[in-house]
Amino acid sequence: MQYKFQQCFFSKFTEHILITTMNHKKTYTTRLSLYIISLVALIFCLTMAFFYEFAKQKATEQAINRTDMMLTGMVNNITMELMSVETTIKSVAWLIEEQKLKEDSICSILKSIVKHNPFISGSAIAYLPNRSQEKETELMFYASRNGSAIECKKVDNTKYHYLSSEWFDVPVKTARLHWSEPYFDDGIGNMYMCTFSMPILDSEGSMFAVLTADISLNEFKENIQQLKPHKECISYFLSREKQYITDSGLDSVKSNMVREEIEERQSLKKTDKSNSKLKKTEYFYSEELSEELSDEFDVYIFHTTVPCTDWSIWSTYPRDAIMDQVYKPLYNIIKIALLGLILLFLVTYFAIKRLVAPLRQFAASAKEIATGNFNVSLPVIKSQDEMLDLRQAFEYMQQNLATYVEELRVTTTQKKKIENELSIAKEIQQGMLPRRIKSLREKFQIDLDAILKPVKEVGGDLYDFFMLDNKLFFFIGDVSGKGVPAALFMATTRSLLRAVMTNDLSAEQTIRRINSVIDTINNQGMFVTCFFAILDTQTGRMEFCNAGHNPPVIIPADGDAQFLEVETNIAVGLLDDYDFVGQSITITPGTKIVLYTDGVVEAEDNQHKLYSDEKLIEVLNHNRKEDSKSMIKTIEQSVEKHSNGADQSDDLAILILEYKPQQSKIVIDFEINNKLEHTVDIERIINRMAVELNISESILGEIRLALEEIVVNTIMYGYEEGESDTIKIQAERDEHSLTITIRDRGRAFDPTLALEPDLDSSAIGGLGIYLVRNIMDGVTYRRIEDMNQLIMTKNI
Amino acid sequence: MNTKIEKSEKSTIVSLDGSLDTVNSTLFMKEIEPILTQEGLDVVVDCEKLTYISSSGLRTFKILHKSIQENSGTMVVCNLRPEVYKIFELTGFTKIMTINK
Repeated sequence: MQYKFQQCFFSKFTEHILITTMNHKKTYTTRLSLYIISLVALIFCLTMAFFYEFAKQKATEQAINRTDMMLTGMVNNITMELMSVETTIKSVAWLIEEQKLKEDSICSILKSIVKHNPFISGSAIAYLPNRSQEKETELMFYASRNGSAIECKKVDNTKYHYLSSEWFDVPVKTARLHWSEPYFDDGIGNMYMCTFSMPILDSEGSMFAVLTADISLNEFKENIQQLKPHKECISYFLSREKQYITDSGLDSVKSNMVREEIEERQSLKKTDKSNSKLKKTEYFYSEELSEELSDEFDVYIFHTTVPCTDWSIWSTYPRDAIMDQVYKPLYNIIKIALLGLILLFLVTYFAIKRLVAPLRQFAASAKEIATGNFNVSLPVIKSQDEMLDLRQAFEYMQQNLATYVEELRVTTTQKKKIENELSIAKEIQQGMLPRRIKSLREKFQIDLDAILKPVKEVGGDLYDFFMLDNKLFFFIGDVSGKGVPAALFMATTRSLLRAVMTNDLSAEQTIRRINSVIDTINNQGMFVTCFFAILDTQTGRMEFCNAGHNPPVIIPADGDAQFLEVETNIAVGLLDDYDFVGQSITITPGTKIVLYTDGVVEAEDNQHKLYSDEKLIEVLNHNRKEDSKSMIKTIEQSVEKHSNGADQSDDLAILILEYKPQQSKIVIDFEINNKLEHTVDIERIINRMAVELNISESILGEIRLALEEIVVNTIMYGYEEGESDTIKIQAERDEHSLTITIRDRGRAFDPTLALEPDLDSSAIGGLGIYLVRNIMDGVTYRRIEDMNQLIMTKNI
Repeated sequence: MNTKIEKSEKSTIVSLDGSLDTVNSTLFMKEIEPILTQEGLDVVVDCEKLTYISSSGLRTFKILHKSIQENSGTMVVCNLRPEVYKIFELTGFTKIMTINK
């Protein structure tokens, strides 16, 4: 089994060598060929394995059967021989008994026994003591072959004594037929023989002599040596008493070992006396024997018996002899198969290569096409198979590619054009927005700022404002929809506004007029929500009309932000002759008006939560002191923070104005970490304050010092070790003073309570606070919940 | 802020350039450490380019002054800018050390 698998591996190995010597990449062809070969080789190996087992089994069976048959035949032959001897003697004995033959006739009888029986080499009559005619102790006649003649003579008593011989003694004692053990007969036979004895009875039935027949074992030996199923086989004959009769061709050492083994086995077996039938040949495989003899000497050992004489025949059949028959054809098959595999491989390889050649060409063509050359030629396929399908598909692709690429080019160019136009449109819309009017602030004391943030390039939100005489007209609107259509509609509305506007019209009259005109041109069903107001800058009286728009927020100078109470009316463009209702209020100086669109209050975050009106109010309240520009920025940032990355969902516009701002208050905020090294930021803060709050150089240094002293003190004494905090600083400047508010979450400390430091002492602790109190005009401290709040003011 | 220390036969001139705030004061202290231990120094602190001083800065001045005095030396502060002089005056430093305007 081992050997066979070695063969299999060897064949696979050979293939591998072939591949590597061919020395090229594992192409598809090679791979496929290899797969096929591997599969074939595998099938072959499996088949061989099966065949081997089968052959082995069969060969063994056959060997066993042959040996069995041979042994059976041998036993039959031997039995036949022995039986014939027995029969002869029996019939002669009867004759002698019946005929009461005289001694002179005895010789002729004996001679005839020998003559007519080729198996019998000698025959004798031996009288029991005192039973012969002459009453001798011993009387024996013996006939035997002498060359071609047969002699019979009286045996010399003086030289030869038979009374104690087995062939005489046993039958006399047992009064029965007896086959003797093999022995060497000195004196008469002078050979190695076996004797069949039969007692002869007289008329009274008492035994008086023994009739014998001798069989020569030398002849046996010759016969047996010829009877061999295989030349390596050896047979052993053992007599009843385990005497070795014969064996064939084994050296003495081995033969002894075999003999011992056999004897051991025989002693273990029970003797079966019940039958005279031939025993079926038994065989066994003796491993112990094999080990002792040699590795190659695996043997089968066969055993059978000759019933008459109880002889055992043992035959050894070496396994190798059996397997030889199996191996020889096996090797030949494998050799042929190997050659076949190599041939198969070569054939498959080249066949596949040829079939697959067009693929290479297709690959090359595809590469060409990829570079943009659509006109490359494709390989010609003559067969009507998948390759042809592939070619047709390629051709089709080729043609279509060219078309698609061209279409794409055209579309891209068009798209670019549109984008271009859109960006121009955006510029136009942005250009439509009024600039900040300089005189608005100085002459009319209005601080106004606005932004517009469409979702796409252009949008449907718009604001507008202009001055006419002393009146400020301002407007914010939101068209339903977004993008170009909304923007166009919005532009129309706005133009209308400016066109219908005259000095003597009220706010609601203006809106009514716009409404009716729009109706005539509005075939798309669009509408505009808007808020329009006219503010008399001298009196503070504001007329306004709201058309379905979000109510503006009004922040009085000294009050909280709230929504303006507006009459909602309806959006412009819905009903032709709607009776818009206008309103008017009077605002006091310092009041802020905040106009916005729903892009602010309806801004969504990722969870679709709206910014909401309430939040707007909250933010406006919180930052009420900011100027218009800053406030817009604050709202914008607040909305962005709320959206938290979600896309802007609607156009956004904000317009904020402050009527007669009483103080130009500017507020800026800073933050510092509570670490000493961060106090370097103070210089930067001061510089910003200088620029944005317009503070002169002369005071800057002092402010810086005051700020530094407070901050350093807070950092050094306000916290536990490792405690982290952000110190918030707010600087506010109005016309007359600068206010700095410092807030921190350290422990409660009121610097206003610090004592005047002793300047002469080495302790310098309270020096900072002392400086602050002397530089700044006012220092107030408040503890609000967990926060320190220090407000320092300086008149400038 | 940059500190320059020039030693000549007669005196040691310490020149300050920039602002002496809390953070810089610590660095300044390190720079002048060698002077603190030397005996009999005549130190001139040139504040021509000193643009700003905080209480920490004042403290370093005080320590410098004290050390020099203890080592039998002298210290003079000169060329103070008006805004810085104001601080010195406000805190009474003009009384405890020699200031040359």
